[in-house]
Amino acid sequence: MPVVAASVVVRRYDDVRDALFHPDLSRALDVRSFEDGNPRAGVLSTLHGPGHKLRRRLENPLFRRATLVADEQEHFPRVIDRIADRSATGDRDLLALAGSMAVVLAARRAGIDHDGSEAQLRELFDLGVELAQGAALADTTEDPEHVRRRTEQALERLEDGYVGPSRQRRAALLDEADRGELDPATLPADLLTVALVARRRGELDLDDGLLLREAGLYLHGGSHTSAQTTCNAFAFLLGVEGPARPELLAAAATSITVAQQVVHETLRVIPMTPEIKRRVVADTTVVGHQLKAGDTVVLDVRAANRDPDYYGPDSDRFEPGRALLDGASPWGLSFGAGPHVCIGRSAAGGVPPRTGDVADDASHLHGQVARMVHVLAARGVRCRPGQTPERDGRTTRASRWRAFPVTFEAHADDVVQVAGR
Amino acid sequence: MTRRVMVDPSRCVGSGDCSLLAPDAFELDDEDVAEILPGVALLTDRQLDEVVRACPTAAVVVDEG
Repeated sequence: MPVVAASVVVRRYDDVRDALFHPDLSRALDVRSFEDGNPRAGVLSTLHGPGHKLRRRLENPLFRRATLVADEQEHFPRVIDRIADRSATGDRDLLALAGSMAVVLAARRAGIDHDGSEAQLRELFDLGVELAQGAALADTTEDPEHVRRRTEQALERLEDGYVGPSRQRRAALLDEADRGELDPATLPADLLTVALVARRRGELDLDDGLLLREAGLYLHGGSHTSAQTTCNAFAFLLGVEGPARPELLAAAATSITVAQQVVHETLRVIPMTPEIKRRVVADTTVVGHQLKAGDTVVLDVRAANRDPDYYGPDSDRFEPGRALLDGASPWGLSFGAGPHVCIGRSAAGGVPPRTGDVADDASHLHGQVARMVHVLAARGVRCRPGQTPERDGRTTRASRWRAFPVTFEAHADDVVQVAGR
Repeated sequence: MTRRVMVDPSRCVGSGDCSLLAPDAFELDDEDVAEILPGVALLTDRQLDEVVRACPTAAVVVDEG
């Protein structure tokens, strides 16, 4: 049974975008979903108004251009290539493999320490999956109370195994810096560190419980959605969704610019959150609808992303590199827009090439998902004969996979061979 | 027609989208508020529109004089 009932549904690209900027629409849908002892209480994505602005000011610097460029040029290739060398061979589950890549990057941004082993990366990704279920409570097909309990258990394990020790290590580093024994410039640039600094300065009231929940948000937001989008991209390329696109698969293996186009188009056609829900916090008008406080607005992102006024008459088709009309984002509204736009969008999706610019410029940001698609395509990924990928039936969001069995060929040359079959 | 580009510091939350899209035209100051660089004059109207639409708090404003 759905947690909220819709009062208005908005579908046009401009209308959905306008609604996402509306100051009287809040993400916090109801007390049971977002407050009242809920595992999601107080995390960035549920805040509204001045509290949200303060938190964004704290966390936005984690996604500065210089940091993202360094990530793209040094960290992403090192992590993704190392995991691909270790695991992109033979029969694999693509969701788990992409998840192990994405979770390293998400944990680094959050400040969650781990030993890099397959076991710990798998556990962290699985914890992120549980937290993602809790974050999408309004769309669950399971008993919401059951999901809530599992989410709480995941948070307990995350605290005991990872966030607690990580927080203590950073607190010790800050003590050293305070005593002049450590250069503050060498402190980790991650969520836990900036939050602990802000707490010591009295700038924000972030207790350990809230820090845990916020780190959990970074973990699942940065790993689960990236891994799922990687699977969606290969669903198109390998012919699980629509006809196989061998020419694109081969091109994505040799060009990260093409891989980024594939990822942007994947996000547009299959937004990770097909419907964004908002609660009206004060009597107001939203795209022509007069609404009262407490009403709910459903923003149909899937429909907006296929608005022919912006994406043309063939907007239902998967066509990476398609021509965009003025003002249209290549990924549609899949990262949201306005004050609540996804904080990690540039880390995940990079930056769209500016009109007139060349995308393969050395400082262009392609995003971690494009890097993952590029590397995995070059390893010769293909569907495993006789085994069909399975969508995740635990949510009404038809954008997610439960299992995605694949096989890896040894060399990039095989991509062409696979493509020709 | 002349155009005047401004940043409303009361709206800016330092998301950095302007400096991601147009690093030659915008950067963030020590307070994490966007400031305008001389390179903004080199942006085409379409590039500037992309920056305006990307700002999540509508802090970048263009006055078409």
